[in-house]
This record gives sequence, structure tokens and C-alpha cells, in this order.
Amino acid sequence: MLSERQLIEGCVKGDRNCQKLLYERYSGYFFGICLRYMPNSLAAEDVLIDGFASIFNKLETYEYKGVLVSWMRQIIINALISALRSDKRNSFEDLPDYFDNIVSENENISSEMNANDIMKLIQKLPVGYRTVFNLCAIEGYPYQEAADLLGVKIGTVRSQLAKARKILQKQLKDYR
Amino acid sequence: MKPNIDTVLRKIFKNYTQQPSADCWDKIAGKLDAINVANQTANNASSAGSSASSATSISIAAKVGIVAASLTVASVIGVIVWLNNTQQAENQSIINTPTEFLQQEEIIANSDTSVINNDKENNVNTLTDKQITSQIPDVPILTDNKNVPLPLDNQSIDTNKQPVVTPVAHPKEPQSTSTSVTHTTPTVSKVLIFTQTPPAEETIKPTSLASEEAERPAQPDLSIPNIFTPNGDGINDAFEINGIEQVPENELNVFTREGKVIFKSVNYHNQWTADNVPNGVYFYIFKFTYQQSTFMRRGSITVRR
Repeated sequence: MLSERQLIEGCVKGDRNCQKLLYERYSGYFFGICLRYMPNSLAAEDVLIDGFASIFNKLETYEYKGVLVSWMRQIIINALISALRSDKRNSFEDLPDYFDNIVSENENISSEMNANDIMKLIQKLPVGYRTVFNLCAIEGYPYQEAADLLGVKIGTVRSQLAKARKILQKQLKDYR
Repeated sequence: MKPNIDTVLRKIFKNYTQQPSADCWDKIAGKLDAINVANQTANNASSAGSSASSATSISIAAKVGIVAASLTVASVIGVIVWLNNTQQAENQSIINTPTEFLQQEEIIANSDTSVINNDKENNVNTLTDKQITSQIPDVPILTDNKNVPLPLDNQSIDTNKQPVVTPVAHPKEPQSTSTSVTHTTPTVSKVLIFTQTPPAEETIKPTSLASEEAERPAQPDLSIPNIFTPNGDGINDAFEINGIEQVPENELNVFTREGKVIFKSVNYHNQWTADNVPNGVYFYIFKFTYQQSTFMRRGSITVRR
């Protein structure tokens, strides 16, 4: 079993086996993150591929400060945001209230939900709500940072986060 | 007490893992290979750059040569142009007289065939040479007598375009048509084509249309608008499909641009007033059954208050 440092050094040298080991160690976790941001698993896989490719490209700039996972997660999240923003159909602006109703009407919420069901609910959220909720509520980004990442005003982030919380709360009220 | 949704979800997703499909790694490896290849070619290019420095000096010499060559070419062209100009100036002063003769000869020849008419005058207009215009006094003298009836004749032919004209001379002015034989024949042939085509189309088209219509099932007369204004003023407040009473068996789905269904109705009867729907463009799919065959119509509908 290689240590993390050996693994990283192998990856920087371009050793394909080391790269594969690193990928296998973290792909499940990062794919879980990608799924939360993207509307379906195909799109999530695309971002995962791009993200890992840029991880391996930038790995030589990793200076062993902080945990490797959070360094990699930063790259993956940047890849996610740029993928979402590159699609011109995606708007991170606030939506009219009626979209909240649509989301809640469509789903039958069972009292026994697992993470996969919640994942589906999150994927059904409008792209702006979903991204803001992921960044701020789950990843814990400050509002201003999320606003800068998405290129919107901080007020837009706040209101979308509140709406996303409201929708999810409504759907998860039976869930403990 | 309700737990905070953020903390609940954070806990759920903290250790959430999901395996991507197996070919993901292959795609990543492929991508890395592609990047490596790109880097290698970039390196090769940079190493080739040093060897190319000698080539650049050569190319500079070549550039100087090209500039020199282009300069000489330009100067040669300039000389040629200048020579041409002087020659032309000389030629014009000399040749002017032959063109006068040519013009006069033409006029005489035309007057012989008795077809001096508007065409000749048009020629005079188009040829804006001073020499020719100076001859105009001569032209009317030669053609005056025979030119007068011709405009009349042309007019009569123009008016005769609508009725059928036989290639035989017109009954009203036989003399004028005979004098301008060259003119009447082309126009008459045009008229003939014009008169022949419509009956041919009339005979062919109805049969083909009839056969096509026989294959298609009959459609109801529906008119679906592309905008309505649900602002409560009593005008266009609902999405009204005119003629919907002919197709009581129908189904209407309205979507947003994102593909979300915002209205769904079986047996729609013009009741959608876009409640809680913001202004914008939406898309509908309207399916209906008419005389045992089903149809579908799609389109966009704008909501504006």
C-alpha cells in the first residue's frame, strides 16, 4: 500500500498506475459531489473526467499544504461551476416563485428516504437553486464567494438559498 | 424541534459516495494521453525553433527579394500604364473620325432595312460619347418619317399583351407592324408563351392536388393562437383554440423552455388562463382525434399580461 505522498509523487511523474490508484481512491467521493451539482449522472461523469484530468495536470503544484482531498475537491468544484456556467441555458438568476410549486408538485415523497432519493430531489431543483444550495449549505462557502463564482449578486444567492431550503424542507418534512 | 436542513443534508452527504461508470477511468487516461501528446508536440516545436533561427535569416533575405521584386513589378506596371495613357490620348484624337464614319454607315444601313426606331434612339442615349451626341441632329433627319408611327406601334403591342395575339399582323395597323417586323416577332412569341402556359397549369394542377387530398385524412379547421393576455380585461384571457368544439377528444400539454410541464389537460376546453405562470414563451403539444385519426400540433404560446 502506497502512502499518499508516494502516490502523489508517482502521479506527478506521470505513472499511469499511480494515477489510476489515486482515481480509484477518490472517484466515488467526487462523483457523489458531481451528482449533487449536475442534473444527471451522464453530465456528472463528464465533469468528473474533466476534473480528474485537471487534477493530474495540476498535481505538481500541490504543495502538501492542507489535506489532499480538500485540494482536489476545490478543483472538482471549480470544474463543476465552469461546466455549469459554460452552458448558456443555465441561468443563476433568481426565478419566479411559481417554479417552487412545480418542484414540490412533481415528487411523491416517501417517509423512508435515503441519500439517493434526496440526491434526486436536489437534482430536480432549478440549476441556480441547486448550485447555490450545494455551495453555501453543504460545502459551506460564504455567500460573497458563491456570488463571485456564479457571477450574480449576493442578494440573488441569499434568496435562492432560502428558496432551495424551503423547497427541500417541504419535501423532507417526514424525513429524520 | 426541527433539525436544520443544512446540517441534516451535510451529514448525509459527508460520506456519500457513488461509483461512476467503469469507462470513466479510460476516458480520463485518454484525456491525459492527449494532453501528453500535445505537450510533446509543443516541446518539439520549441526545439525546432532554435534550428529554425537560421531559416528565419533565410526567410528575411527572401522577404527582401520579394519586396524588391514587387517594387520593380510596380514600377514596370506604372510605366506601362503611363505609356497606355499617352497612347490612348493620341488614339482618341486620331480614331474619333473613323467612329463617326462607322456610326453614319450603321444609320444608313438601318434605314435601308427600315427598322430605324426607338432602339436607335436608345443607342444614342447609352453611347454618351460627345461625338455621337453631336450627330443626333443627323439621326432625326434620316429617321424622322419612319420613326413617328413606331412608338404608337409599340404601345399597341403592349396593350395587346393581355388578349391573345396571333403572329399574324394586327388588324388595326397593318402598315406599322409590317414596317417593324423585327420588333413584333419577338413580342408576339413572348405573348404566345404567356398564353399557352396557363391552360396547361390549370389542367395539370387540379388532378395532382385531388390525388394528394384523397390520401390525407380530413383535418378539422382549428386555429391555435400564439399569444394570449391573461390580465383579466376580458379580451384574450385564456389560451383559446378556435374550433376546439370539433375535437372534444383532445389532450393539451404546455411546457416551459426547460421542458417542465406547467399545464396538462385531457379534453381541454379553452380553460387555461396561465395562473401563477410568469410572462414568457411556452410550448404546447396539442393532440386530438378527428374522424378516427389522431393528430398532433405543436407550437409556442406567449403569455403577456
